[in-house]
Amino acid sequence: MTERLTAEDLPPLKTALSDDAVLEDGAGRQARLTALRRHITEIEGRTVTFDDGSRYGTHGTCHTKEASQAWDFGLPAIDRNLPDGSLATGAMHDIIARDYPDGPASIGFCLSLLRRLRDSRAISGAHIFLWCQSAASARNFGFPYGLGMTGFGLDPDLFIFATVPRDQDVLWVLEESLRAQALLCVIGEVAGFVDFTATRRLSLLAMEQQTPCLLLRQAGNSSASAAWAQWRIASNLSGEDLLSGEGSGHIRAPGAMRWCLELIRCRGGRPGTWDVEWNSATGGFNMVAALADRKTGIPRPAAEPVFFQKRTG
Amino acid sequence: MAVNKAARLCGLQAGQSMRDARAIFPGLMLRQAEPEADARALKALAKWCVHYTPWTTVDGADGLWLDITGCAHLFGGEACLLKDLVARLSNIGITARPGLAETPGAAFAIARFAPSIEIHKRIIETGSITQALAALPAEALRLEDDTVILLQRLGLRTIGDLMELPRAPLEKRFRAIKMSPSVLHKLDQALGRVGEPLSPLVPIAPYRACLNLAEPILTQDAVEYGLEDLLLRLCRDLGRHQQGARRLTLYAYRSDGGVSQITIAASRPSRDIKHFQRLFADRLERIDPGWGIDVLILTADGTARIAAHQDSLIQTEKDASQEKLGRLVDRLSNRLGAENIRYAEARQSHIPERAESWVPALSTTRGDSQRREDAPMRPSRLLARPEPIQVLAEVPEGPPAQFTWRRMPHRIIRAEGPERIAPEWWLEEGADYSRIRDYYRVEDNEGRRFWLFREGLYQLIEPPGAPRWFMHGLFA
Repeated sequence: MTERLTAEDLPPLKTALSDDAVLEDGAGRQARLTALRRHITEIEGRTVTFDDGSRYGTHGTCHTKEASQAWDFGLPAIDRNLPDGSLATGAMHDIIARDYPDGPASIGFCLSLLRRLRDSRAISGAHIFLWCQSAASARNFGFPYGLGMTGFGLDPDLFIFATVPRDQDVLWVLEESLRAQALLCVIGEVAGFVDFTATRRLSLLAMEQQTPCLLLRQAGNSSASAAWAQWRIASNLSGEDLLSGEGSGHIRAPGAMRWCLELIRCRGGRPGTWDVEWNSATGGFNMVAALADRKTGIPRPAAEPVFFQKRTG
Repeated sequence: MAVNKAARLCGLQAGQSMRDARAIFPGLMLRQAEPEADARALKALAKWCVHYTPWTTVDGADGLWLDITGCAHLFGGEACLLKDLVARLSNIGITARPGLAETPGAAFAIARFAPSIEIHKRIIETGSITQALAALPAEALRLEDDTVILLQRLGLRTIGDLMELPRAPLEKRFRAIKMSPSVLHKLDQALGRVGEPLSPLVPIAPYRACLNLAEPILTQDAVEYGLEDLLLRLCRDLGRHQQGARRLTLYAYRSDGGVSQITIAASRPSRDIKHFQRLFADRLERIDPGWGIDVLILTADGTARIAAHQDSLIQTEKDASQEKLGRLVDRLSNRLGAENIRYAEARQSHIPERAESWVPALSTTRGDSQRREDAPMRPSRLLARPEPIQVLAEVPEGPPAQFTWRRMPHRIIRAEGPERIAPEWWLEEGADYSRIRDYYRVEDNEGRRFWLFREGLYQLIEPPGAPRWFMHGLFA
């Protein structure tokens, strides 16, 4: 780390020490100290912890001593690739599906992130998510279904849903919602191409308002983006189903949700690829072992299989 | 056949046949009568006249009632109001014959049957109704034609003649012919002895602010400026009565006889001028100024009581964020449509598409969602409509082995089901078992998970018909 701070860079503290100057009151001195700390943090390019316990993160995010839990994955394998081991809450994140049919998987990943975010904050029930989708996106993958969100441990009453005709309207809604400072997280689902300028605006707004913004994009639309992190999601074969068990010889039910995560880029972090499984009961991720004995196909038995039957109605 | 002034000057009369008219004036222009279009135009004209008074309605096929009680002073007096009205109507190209009186009946009489065109002679001052009506012919009382003929035969040509007669013999004479109640009733209405209420065409809003412009305005900036003034006055009025507005409508009356309006709605009643200005700002371009806007009227259609609150020194964070959220919802709903910004509310139904419904975020009533604790597993996305799929399934009650959806084939390796959902026979008539659904949660060989169902049972459908399969939802 080369020494780049020179005497001219420092704010003029020496005037406060001169004999004939009036002693500065505490507030002015404190402000100068804060400015100095931020300056140092920007130079360092990483979070710096100072002697009095205050930490300043990159790009102006400030973690005070009373910070709530970090918004992370709970898995060291992933968290160590993120700067400070957690996702930035004052930033915009891109979530991109790898192929067109991976759209629902990216939506599921987004919901799991929302669950993690909600768990990491002490929610009093007033904080709310806004989910905005364009009409084209609704045609592709349907509408959000509240009863399905309970599967992620999220209460659908926490959401406001918006369906708008065009992608530009989605971006407008995201900007307005960020400016309002009334939501915990803002999610947008676009079907088409989003240009760099729009992502930069969203990113700046998210940073200014310290509210995370998640943008779900479809496959092939991951162009240059000003997002803080870009994720690429692909669907993956599900895990073991605990009910039907191994080796029963019958067709098994789909098990726990699994996805392939790829962190394409992250400011201050390192890219990586992981296979994760979502555990909705605990609201956490599990790593999928590399050598899993996944069976890709089960031979059908000749006899009529017995299924897990439920009768309703 | 109706004639206009120019035609009348050439000697044509209303009611002549076309052949006679053509004979008198060969170069006559004839137009087909369109009574519905005329009625609509008259209604539109009545709405335009609302800027004089909110109490306007249509009279028959060729007249308008305007109740200008309490409005005349805004225009400099009754005579000035009538002059202004006649002048503006003639600007649009409509010849109007006004009449002003204390009762609708008398006004009708004086408007249609007054001999002179001068405005002063067409206004009946208070207390002089009897004199003014005495000289008018009997049909000015809005009587039927045969009644009028009968009265003429009896020698009662003017209203004055009718008024002189004692009532009891008149009643007795006409009762047999079943016309008397109508004649006396109309006379009493005209003289004000019996009330005749008029119902206004446009419902009258409780709070209303009016801006009459000296010169017609054409630009959006001018409309914004006028709107700010109106909002100040309206919110002051609302504040005096401790009310807040939830719906505001801005009417712009053009000098060519048209009216433009925009409405905004808010989720909570408020008196916040800045908030309303922002909500209107998105919509102001929809007002078409035409040849110029003369009058702007702002009405508060839906109001509710809000307590006068002092901005507390320590406003709790929850209140502040609730308020901010309310404003955001207002802004989004007014710009994109109230039905597009919504909450999901659970309903008592196990048909999946009915188990949850959308409720617009602007509506205050947010019923308590009935969410079940042990709800079965559901997809996080539901298609707007179940889409038909082609399926290869082996057994009568088994999941498909393979299906094709949106022209992409999928091979299924895992499945769970069936979950049987039958139509709700207590709600629909004729809900029969051919629409039973068996839902399956399946996963294909690429790890994508779907929710599909078979409608109908093999046992109940005769071949060559077969139960149909549909895709309904997508799991993550």
